Amino acid sequence: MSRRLWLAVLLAASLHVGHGQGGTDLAQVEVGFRDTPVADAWNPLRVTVRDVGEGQLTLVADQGNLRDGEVPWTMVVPIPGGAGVRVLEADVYLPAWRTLVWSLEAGGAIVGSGALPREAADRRRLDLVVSARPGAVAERLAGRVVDVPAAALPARAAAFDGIRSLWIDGSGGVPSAAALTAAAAAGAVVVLADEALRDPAVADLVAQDAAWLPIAAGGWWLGAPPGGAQLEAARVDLGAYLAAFAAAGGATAPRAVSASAVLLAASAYVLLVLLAWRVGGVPGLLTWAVLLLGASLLAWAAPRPASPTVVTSRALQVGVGDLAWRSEVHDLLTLPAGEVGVARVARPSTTTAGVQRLGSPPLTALTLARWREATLVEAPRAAPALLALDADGRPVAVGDRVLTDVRIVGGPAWREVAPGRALGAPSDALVLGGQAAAFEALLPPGSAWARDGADWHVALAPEVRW
Amino acid sequence: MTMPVPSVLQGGLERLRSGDLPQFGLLTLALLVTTLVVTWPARPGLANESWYTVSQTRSVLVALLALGYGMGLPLVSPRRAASTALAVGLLALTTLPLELVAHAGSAPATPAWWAWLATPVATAGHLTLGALLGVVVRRLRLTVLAPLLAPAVLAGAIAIDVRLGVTLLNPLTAALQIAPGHLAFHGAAAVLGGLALAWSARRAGRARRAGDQA
Repeated sequence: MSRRLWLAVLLAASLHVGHGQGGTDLAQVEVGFRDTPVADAWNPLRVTVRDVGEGQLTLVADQGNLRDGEVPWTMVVPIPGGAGVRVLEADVYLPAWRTLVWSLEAGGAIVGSGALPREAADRRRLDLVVSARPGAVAERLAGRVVDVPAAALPARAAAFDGIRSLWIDGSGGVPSAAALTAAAAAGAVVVLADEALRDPAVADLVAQDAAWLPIAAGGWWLGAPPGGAQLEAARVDLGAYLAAFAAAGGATAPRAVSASAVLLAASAYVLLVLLAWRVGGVPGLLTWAVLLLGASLLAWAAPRPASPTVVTSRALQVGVGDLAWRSEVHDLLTLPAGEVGVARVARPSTTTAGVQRLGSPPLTALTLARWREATLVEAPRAAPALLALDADGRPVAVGDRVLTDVRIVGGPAWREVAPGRALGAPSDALVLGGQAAAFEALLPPGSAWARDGADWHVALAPEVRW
Repeated sequence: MTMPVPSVLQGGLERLRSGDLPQFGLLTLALLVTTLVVTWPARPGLANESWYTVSQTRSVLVALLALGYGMGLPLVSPRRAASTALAVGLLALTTLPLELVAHAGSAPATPAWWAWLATPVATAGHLTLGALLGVVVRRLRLTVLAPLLAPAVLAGAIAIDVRLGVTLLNPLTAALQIAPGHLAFHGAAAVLGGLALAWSARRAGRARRAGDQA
């Protein structure tokens, strides 16, 4: 090969490599903290794009198996475009996947794509460490330990859905108070070393002097560093609460026309038709035609509900003090087969094919067979608690709502508790349904729970849980 | 045509007014009402699956009726045959609201218009097939087996479709899904049947005129 040809080949190869590198730099997608996602949980998503137009990121997680085939869960995230670097942060629900692929499309072209291996679909919760010496925590816990920079922690409770604990020793900086509160509200045990407590923002959060200060579903750990078993014991199993809560409700099918009404109407139609035939001639024919038309219209309209889909919503709040972890649950029922959804960012409670579209307005839609029910669970968030326990361990309404069917687990019950009103004498023990009893069995003794319509509020007992 | 339409219509209404057709019609409608009520959900919250049974029952009953009355068409005058065919067609249409109520309750994926389109075409096709069967039975002198042949032919048609994996002749599968092949087959049969009826009416008219002239 001549020298000139070699030069041409080298030039072409260098141009190709340059273009390839430019292509990879156009978009970066990080799922989970430091690319360590947790399966069956909400995970933070960080998308960085450079100099690309508006587009969308599509993640497809196949939850299928050999028996059922593909069961795709598709997440679509709109990406803002423009010159320079743009960063988008959101939370996406990742089911336990068989394959997980993503592609970023902008300006009619794919500017990035990738995949997560099946081995990465790990359900075990993460232990996040903000420290210059994360190895010490990793040795202590022997779990899934990920070190993260303090500034990378988002102030969204949903991002901490798959987090068991968050360790701050002060050597790696201190995250924002909002991020710490979000982590604790989501159920994480936030382990704060003395050095971290020197930060005024953290000191404000942890005003009391105790080894364990629960807030919402998590809490602050200020004592000697815990081990993995202690962390597991301190963790509130919100997934179990949510599953029991979801099972206790469900969309109610629209009231159907009774079989006796159908029998009566159908028999009347048959008799009238026979009568019309008996009359015969043009009058009989006209009567038959009117009967056919009228009966068809009645048959089409009467059994049909006002809406072929039923969507009901309710919420579960679990908290300690004035902060709660809140998740909204949407029960869907569709009569005809098709796509049914809600204008929220949510996940299905069971393995189902569907689409989650972020943006404005958001949408979560499931593809359901006819007469099928499904439950969608929204991403958790921190919310003001409506039910709390006073110093004597008695329930108090701390919001602006009157709560009913108030119960202390293993203790007395009240018909209602109203804000700013003294609690009356306990009522007779209210009889619980099977699902509600199963829910109560999950709560630690001494906790209180009450209803606000279809919403359930839990005030966890503040005692140490291990 | 030698038969004015009003007189055929009058004949069809007369067939529905008296004789065996109203009795078979009542039996068909009563069976459908029973099927509808038995398969209707007994209490709220249960999935309504009635359409799947009602539509198949209706489709088979109407097919049997059309095949049975079709076998008798070659034996009667063209005018009488047209009147009978019309009466069977009207009876088939009469069953549609009973399927429609089940459809509205069950909310299946198959559109409601499919039954309204397929029923007249399939009934006309089955009448033609029945007439063809009647001619064959008469030629082979097997008239004694006629009552058994309509269900036997229907069972054979279902078996052929199942064997071939298509929906051409099978009224059970054609009731549950849009089947263009079923529609085309019965549409073609209906056209052929109509042409045969017109041809025999014309021939009968000529023979009558020749007789009058003689």
